[in-house]
Amino acid sequence: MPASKRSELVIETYGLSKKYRDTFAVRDLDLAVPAGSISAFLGPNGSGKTTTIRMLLGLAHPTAGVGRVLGQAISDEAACIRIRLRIGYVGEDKRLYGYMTVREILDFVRPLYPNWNRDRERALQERFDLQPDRKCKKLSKGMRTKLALVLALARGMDLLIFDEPGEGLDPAGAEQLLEAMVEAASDGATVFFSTHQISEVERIADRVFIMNRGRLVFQSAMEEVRKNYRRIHFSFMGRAPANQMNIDGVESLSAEGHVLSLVANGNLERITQHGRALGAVSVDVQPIGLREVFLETLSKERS
Amino acid sequence: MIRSKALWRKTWLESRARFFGTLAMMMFVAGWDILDSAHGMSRFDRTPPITFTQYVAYLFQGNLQWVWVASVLLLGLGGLAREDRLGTAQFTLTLPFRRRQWMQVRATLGLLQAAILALVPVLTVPLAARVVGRSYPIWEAFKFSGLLFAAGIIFFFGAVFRSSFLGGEFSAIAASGISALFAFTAQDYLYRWIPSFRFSYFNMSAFLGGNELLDRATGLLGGWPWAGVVKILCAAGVLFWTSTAIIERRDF
Amino acid sequence: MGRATRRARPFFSCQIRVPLYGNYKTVNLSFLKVNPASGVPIYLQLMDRLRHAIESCLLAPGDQLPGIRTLAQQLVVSPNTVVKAYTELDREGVIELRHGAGAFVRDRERHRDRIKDIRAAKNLVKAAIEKMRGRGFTPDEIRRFVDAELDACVEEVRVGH
Repeated sequence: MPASKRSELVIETYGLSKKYRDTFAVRDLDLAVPAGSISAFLGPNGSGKTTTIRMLLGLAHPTAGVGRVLGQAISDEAACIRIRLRIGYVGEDKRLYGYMTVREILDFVRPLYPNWNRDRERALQERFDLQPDRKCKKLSKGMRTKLALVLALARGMDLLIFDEPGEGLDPAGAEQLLEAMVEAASDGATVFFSTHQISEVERIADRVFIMNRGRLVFQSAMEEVRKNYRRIHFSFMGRAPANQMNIDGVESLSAEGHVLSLVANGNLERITQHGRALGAVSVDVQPIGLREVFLETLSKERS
Repeated sequence: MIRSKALWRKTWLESRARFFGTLAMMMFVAGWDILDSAHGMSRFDRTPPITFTQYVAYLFQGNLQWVWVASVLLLGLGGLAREDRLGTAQFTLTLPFRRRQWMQVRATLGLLQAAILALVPVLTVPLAARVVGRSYPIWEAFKFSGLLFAAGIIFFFGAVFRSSFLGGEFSAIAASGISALFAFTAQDYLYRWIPSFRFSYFNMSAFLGGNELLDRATGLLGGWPWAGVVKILCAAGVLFWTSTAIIERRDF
Repeated sequence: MGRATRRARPFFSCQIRVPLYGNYKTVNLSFLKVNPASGVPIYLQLMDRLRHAIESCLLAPGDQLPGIRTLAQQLVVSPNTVVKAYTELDREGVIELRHGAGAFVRDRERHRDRIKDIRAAKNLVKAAIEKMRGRGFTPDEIRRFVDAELDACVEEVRVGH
């Protein structure tokens, strides 16, 4: 992938906010998604992920801040049209026109996108096993999702935005979804998806963004998370000296009897040395998965 | 860019059932009342007895008017607020069209359909008259239909306006029904209770039927109330502009 | 693109070789399966597996590695990860990225030379750093010297020396 493309930002927001009466659905969001990456958007329900995506697409109007998708301002409707021609979107609500059949809705959408790839459409239709003459209202949730994916992926888009795409898919379908996302990324598209499936994120995401209560509370490259985050267990002879372990890199700490366990973000050498210096008799360093990082980040927020 | 076939095709598919239903209703009412004219006319106990042309004028002021207005209120349903309730709005709004374009196409198609409905009596009345051995000039029917359409268009845009914020079908129809009822009857009551209302007496039904220009003797329209029609068209324009603004500002 | 013309085979070549060129769908690439849940970045895991594959002759010198797209899809990992793994392996001299043609396993001899070059370069840097540390410079200061020197080189190139 050419370096110049990689330094572009396909999604950028500055202070983006959405306020409903007294509550902020999204607050002061500064998001930067680089081109050519697969970025995952995590967060508990109600954290503002869907609202953010809706604002990026021009479905909802921000109450403050600015945002740009593919260099175009999201607040300008004419610009939104230009954006939509180059992105594929699969929303939470994957409802399509019930009165149209699968074939009809594909025929409907196809002429709207100049870069539509007919071969890709056919290949995906086969892969997802979509019956062309089924009416959309007769499709199961999983089939609707697959149809929505075909509609989004066959377009020849520069950016894919998915809001909980795996919802309603069985494990086989979920695997096909991941393959389709990877395929799109291999073609040069940027993929930005929100999800609850952390295992998906661990497999294919390059970057992770975590939202909580409307704010962006964590962002990092997946590699950095793998490299730097560890769970360390110290065993001491006497009581674990919890209050002496407050050094750089320790994200969270808990002590039970003579065992001290902490989550470390970098600075691993220093931390283990420090533990030994305090008299730890055994040190156990283990990698932790994204799920734990996610939960730790949220519980930190709560305190 | 309203030239895009997709916009028109979708809007048509979604209004097709309503259009054909109201078309059938309109044809039935316009035809039946004429075919049954002997019976209908005999219900008028007057001297001199009511002529056929007077009877037709009576129809235009009554049944035909109401069935057309009811049809047009149905035609005004639909739109993005309804799609929001159904769940397809996100899909529609992420297609490369402006919200305004969806509105414009819906309004234009609805107007065309309303015009066709208004023209139904122009065809069926003279034809049905022929069947029962009477005759009725097409041009006269056209004058009535034209007025019905031009002035009654406010009901269509009222429905469009209501559909821009009422997503539920029942609530939209109920609201439309209530406001039509108001338009048709309230003037009378207001006129009776508030004397100062006298100077602005305006009966919608009478206006749609061309009451002021009706020659009682012949039952033919003398002309068209152009001033009133222009005012109504302006009001309709305002309603449409407001509906568009509402949809554009809405969060989906 | 055909296989590179064979030179005299390295003496330790295997008799049985899996033809990987162009047939990735038929060949089981599961030996490259990575574990996303481990603490090791995926690209490092991939690099390990590829190096192992090359050392155990599953991939021979001159063989073309699976395309980025193909490998990413087979393993269901981000293509950026594959790119990074290939880039790093290229930097190490284990494979060669030929512009527009793909990634190829480097010829052992050239590989060995490149490894020697890399080792020599690393030793140079090690010696220089030890010397400077001996003089009392901190790592940050040393890093600054290096960056400054490299920036100057880039400037020269740009100006056209």
